[in-house]
Formats: sequence, structure tokens, C-alpha cells
Amino acid sequence: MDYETKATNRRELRLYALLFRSICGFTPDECIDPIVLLDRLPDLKGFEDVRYEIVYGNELPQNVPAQCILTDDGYLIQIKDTVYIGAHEKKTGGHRMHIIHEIMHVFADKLGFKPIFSRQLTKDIPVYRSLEWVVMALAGEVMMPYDATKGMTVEQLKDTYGVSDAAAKKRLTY
Amino acid sequence: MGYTKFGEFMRIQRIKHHEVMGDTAKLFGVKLPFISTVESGKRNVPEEWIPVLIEHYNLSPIEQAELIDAVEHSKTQMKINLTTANNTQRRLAVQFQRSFENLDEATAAAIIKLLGGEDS
Repeated sequence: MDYETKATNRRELRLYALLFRSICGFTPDECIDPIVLLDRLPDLKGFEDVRYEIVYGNELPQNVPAQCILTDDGYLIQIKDTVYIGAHEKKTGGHRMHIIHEIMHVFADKLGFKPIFSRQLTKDIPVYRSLEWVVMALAGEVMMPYDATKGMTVEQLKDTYGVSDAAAKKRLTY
Repeated sequence: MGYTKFGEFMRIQRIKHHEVMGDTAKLFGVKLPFISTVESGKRNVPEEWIPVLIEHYNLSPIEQAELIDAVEHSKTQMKINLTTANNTQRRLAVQFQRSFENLDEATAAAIIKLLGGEDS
């Protein structure tokens, strides 16, 4: 499900991605392992209220690999065990992207990309106002830093940054 | 709900030893969601995990005490042995059990203080 949010653009999100890397203590071009990041989140400035749990496949809807929910005292990232195992043991790009996507939901929310609830029931959300686009773009920018990945092929992106085929192909379009 | 004391203990140990939750699941030979339910306080920490953790992380005596304390604090259920309790103590145990769910923070803190326990 998507929500309308405040307007932004990829250039702005690229700067936020650099900010996120800086908060985590990563260099602007190193490869990020989302699995390792999960345990470190509560130690990062601004992320003290984030925790995660691994759930059985039947605890989330079939088409939901992971989700981020707001609780009484913060954010809870829930990840299906198959997704976690795929990202950890098999280093599957798609699974790694699912996890960083949920971490970016938290980051986007903290940056003020909140859902805007409109009275209009059916309305197409323009990309620059789509919360899901914001989160996907942030995930891509965080995993594949723009300057460091200039001129890379899809295979190089996948090998160097452990991203999915779809994410690598998307990187070549901007 | 945040991590339990045990969940926080495990999180810190994993970071210190460059491990992730997947490694913890392998260490105990259990599925990942089970680790999550224990660390979030939905299940008790299995007693047999304690010596495994002490050995695996080569815990110092201070860290071992922290682990035991974390396990105690993370329990989902506790038993009180009333075998040798007198009538007043029994009344206290029953009253405490009845009132526990509705205790507010201030009252709970006052009772802890009255019983000579730690503040946090």
C-alpha cells in the first residue's frame, strides 16, 4: 500500500542517503550488510527506538516479505525467516533489499516523510509524492552510492554491493 | 515494547563478536523466530542456553552475573515458593498476584524501594 507524502526528488534523497551512511559510520562507498545493521540500529543517533524481530512465514501475509510498524514506543521491523536466511546465508540481493527497504521506512519517517491522509478516495500519487517511491529510492541510494557506482555494469553492481538484479538495473536509469 | 534485558545483552554480545542473530540460531540449533520470541520476552530463556553462552562468548565473572540477571529480568512467568510462608506472607503473595497487572509505574517503584530492591 502506498501513501502520499511531502514532495521530494532523487537529488535530495541522495543527500539523505549520504547522511544515513554518515550516521552509521560507513564510508561513502563501502558495501552495507543490512543484516549487520539490524543489531546496530538502537546504538545509532536517532534510531534508539527501533527494534526488529524474525517471524515465521505465516505471521505476515503471503506477499509481504517484511514490514515496519509503529508501536507504542517506537518502530518494529518484522522480517520473515526465509528473507533473513536468504539475506544472511545466501546473500541474495532481493532479500537484502527487502531488509534495507524496511530500515529506510524508519529513516524516511524520521526525515518527515509522513503519510498525508487525503479525503479524496481515488487519486494517483505522483512519483515525487509517493512514500513507497521515497523509500525505494532511499534504499537504492544507500545500497549503491551514486558517485561510487558511476559507470558500473549490472553485474558489477550486484557483485560489489550485493543488490538485486532489479535494483542494479534501476541504477543504470539515472 | 523494546528489547528485554536478555535481548539487549545478546544484541551487545553479537556486535562485540561480529555476529548476527542467524549465528545465535545456529549456536543453539533452533529456528530464528524462536530466538526472536525469547529476546523479545514472549518466551522464557531456556536454562541450558546459559552455559553455552558463557563458553561461546568466554564471559568474565562480571559478564556472567549480568547474563544471569538479564535472564531473571526477562522471565515471562515467576513462581513463589509458599511452602514455608506464614499467613501474612501468603496474603501478600495472593494480593500481589491479583494487583500486579494494574500496578502503575509509581506504585511499582515505591514497592521496589520498600522491599529494598534496585531502582531500575
